[in-house]
Amino acid sequence: MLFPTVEFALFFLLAFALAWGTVRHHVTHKRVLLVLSYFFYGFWDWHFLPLLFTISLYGWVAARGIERGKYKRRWLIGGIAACLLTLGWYKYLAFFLQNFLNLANSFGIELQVSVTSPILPLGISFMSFHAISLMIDVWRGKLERAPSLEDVLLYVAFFPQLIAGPILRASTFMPQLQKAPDPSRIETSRALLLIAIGLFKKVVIANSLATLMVDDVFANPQSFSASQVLLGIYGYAAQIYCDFSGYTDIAIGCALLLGYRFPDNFDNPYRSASPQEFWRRWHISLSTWLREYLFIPLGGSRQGEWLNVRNLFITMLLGGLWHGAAWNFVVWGFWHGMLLAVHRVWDNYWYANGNDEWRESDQWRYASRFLLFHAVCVGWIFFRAADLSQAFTVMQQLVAGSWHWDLAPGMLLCVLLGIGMHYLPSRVLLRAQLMGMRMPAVVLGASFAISLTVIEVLGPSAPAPFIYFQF
Amino acid sequence: MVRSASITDVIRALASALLVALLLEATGLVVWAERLEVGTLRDVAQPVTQTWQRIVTGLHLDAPRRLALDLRERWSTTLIPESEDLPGVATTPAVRPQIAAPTAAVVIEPREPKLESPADPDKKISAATDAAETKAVVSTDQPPKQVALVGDSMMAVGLAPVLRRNITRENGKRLVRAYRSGTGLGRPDVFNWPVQYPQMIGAARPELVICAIGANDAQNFQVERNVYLFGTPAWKQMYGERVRDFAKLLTRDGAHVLWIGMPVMRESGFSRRMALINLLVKEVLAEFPQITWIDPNTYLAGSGGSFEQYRQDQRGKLVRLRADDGIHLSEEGAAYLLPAISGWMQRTAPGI
Repeated sequence: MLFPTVEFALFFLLAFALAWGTVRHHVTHKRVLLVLSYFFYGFWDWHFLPLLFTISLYGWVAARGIERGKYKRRWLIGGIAACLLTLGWYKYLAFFLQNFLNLANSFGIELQVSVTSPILPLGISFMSFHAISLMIDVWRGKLERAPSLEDVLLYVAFFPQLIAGPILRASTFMPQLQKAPDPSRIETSRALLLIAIGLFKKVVIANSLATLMVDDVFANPQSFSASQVLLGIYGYAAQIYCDFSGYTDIAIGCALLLGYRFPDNFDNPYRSASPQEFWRRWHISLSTWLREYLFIPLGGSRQGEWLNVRNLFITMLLGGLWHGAAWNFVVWGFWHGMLLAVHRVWDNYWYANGNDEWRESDQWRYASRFLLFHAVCVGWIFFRAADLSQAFTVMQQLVAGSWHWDLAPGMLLCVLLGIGMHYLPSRVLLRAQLMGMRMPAVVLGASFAISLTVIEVLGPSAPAPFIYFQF
Repeated sequence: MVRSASITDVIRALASALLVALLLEATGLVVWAERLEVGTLRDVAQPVTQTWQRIVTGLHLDAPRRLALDLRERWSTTLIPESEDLPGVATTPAVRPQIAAPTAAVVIEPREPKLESPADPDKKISAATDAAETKAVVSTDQPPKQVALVGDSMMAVGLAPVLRRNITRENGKRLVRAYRSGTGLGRPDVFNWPVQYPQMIGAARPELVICAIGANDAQNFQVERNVYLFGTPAWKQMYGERVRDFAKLLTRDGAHVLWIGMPVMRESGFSRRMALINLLVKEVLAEFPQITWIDPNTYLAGSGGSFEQYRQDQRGKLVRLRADDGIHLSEEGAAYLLPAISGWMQRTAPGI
């Protein structure tokens, strides 16, 4: 059940009616949301419903064990290990086995193992991270007490975020489950605006770029000129932003209509002037999760420069692997780890040499944004390519291909929109939101429906799944 | 400052949105109902949406959407032009099946074809491949020989990228892309291959056709009020006729066709269904001397015809043959079919 489908629209209307219809009976309200969330997940493949339940159960059992106080550390380690082993079984087993066997073979050790990877359940990485967040937040005392099983099941499975986030930290979401949503305080205007913007990003920009340009360029880069390959790379940068942030916008909007608040997941990431800033603006919920639950436990940045660099590399490599079991994701993580580390060292050097004033200039900021955007694009080549050799073929074509400025204006427009929207002043969206608030509800609803029709008409004929569904 | 509304306002807004959307999207809803899997929901949704569409059309309330679609078509030719002059590449305009003008006896050709069978392979493919891929990629030499790649996602994923790289690598060939994910021969109500194929290839007249199709066809279908259950004699007869019609179309201009069967799948039930389709298709295609059917399991299956996801290559390196979904081919897996395909090309049309 993809967000931009009639099926989801019908499902959401039903969910909205049932959720608000039962809001006076809080326990029933949460049970209704839980059943709806399991139905939503089961709509793809009901075979994995027990897995969703099991991962939630890991979180609940471990959280209860930690709360009891005896063997706290063992409960924490056991719970995290159970989540990671489950994730590893579905997502990484075949990858590691394949590479282990190939390594053994390169040393002349002939091993014969029959390898078949299990089907990757949708959203397994997100479920696992939610469960781990719950255990660590209980361990750190960020939750007053371990939540009930029903609350944990709903926290992990809540349908707007179940498949592709944003990753909700237990300490910020669980308190919302303690009391029923307030039916007199629903941010309708913001919710509908976010849903419309999210659909526009996904259906019009991301789908158009994917189906009319990016997929072709990455499938067979040698058939394209260097300028077309370059546009294809820029196109992918715009596509992945619009695809993922579009999904998040819709998820946040749907949650708001049900009376729940999700954290922002993107903050104009291509406006960033440094790698650190980029990771504060891109997939914020993942980068916050990695910082809170991996980088800081590793020692963070307080143990000296080299240990800091090591921690950055470990965090980004694992962040890369989180996206998929393939070497191109490892390289992508390594690339970002390197950007962060090099920038850290560079930053310290410039501060030490008193270049602060120059660094604050507009010219430097614009140059930094330009450089950072292109460094991120290099990472996207590895992220998008089917494998490492394809990534290098794309790069080779970029360098060796001919330069003809024969670019389709429609694709240029999509790229410009996808990247240019980062520079839209925030007051524009705020004004649109305020305008929506001042409208009579009926006019607001009609405007929303008209915008949906425009999006449907402008979108390409073939639908494309959200990129982050595969993670 | 929290800018909020009461539940009553939200209900009013959503009710208004629903009503306006129902008015503007009446035709879109008919298309949606057409695409549903044969079953109760489709049985209910079709008459309801068709009746609603007739009412809306009668009142001319669908005019804004039709106008918008017209404008889009006009702009799309400007914004995404035919680019015959691109270096080494030329594209024919992507076929966009249009929503037919809504009349009482409307013939619908969907904009978003999507089949859903119990093991619908196209649910699981990546964004990178679920595209309307109906272009022709041309290398520059004159006169180009034409090779068409035809099929569903079994062609689009894995196989097509490998063939495109290998066939366009040699000059003098024009590769005509006529594949689309989420389609099949079983549901012409969703995507009508006999109608769409001529549009996909445009003016091209391929001498050779490489076809891989059928992964979405293991499902029931409906003709008028008759439901054909998968695997029954009536279903087999109907599906066989559709395969026969399509085979006639592919060979219409004297083209030679290599039809690649369905490989063994990870899920045993789905695999059995594919085996049935292979059997049926092979039997029908035996009537066509210009068509060669090959069994991909000869190259991709493990011992005893079992599903094999990884295999050690000649250098001893373990390579992935199949995609994560256990259905589609990986590019390395597709490469295992290359010798058979190029052998067939050389035997069939040595000059190409």
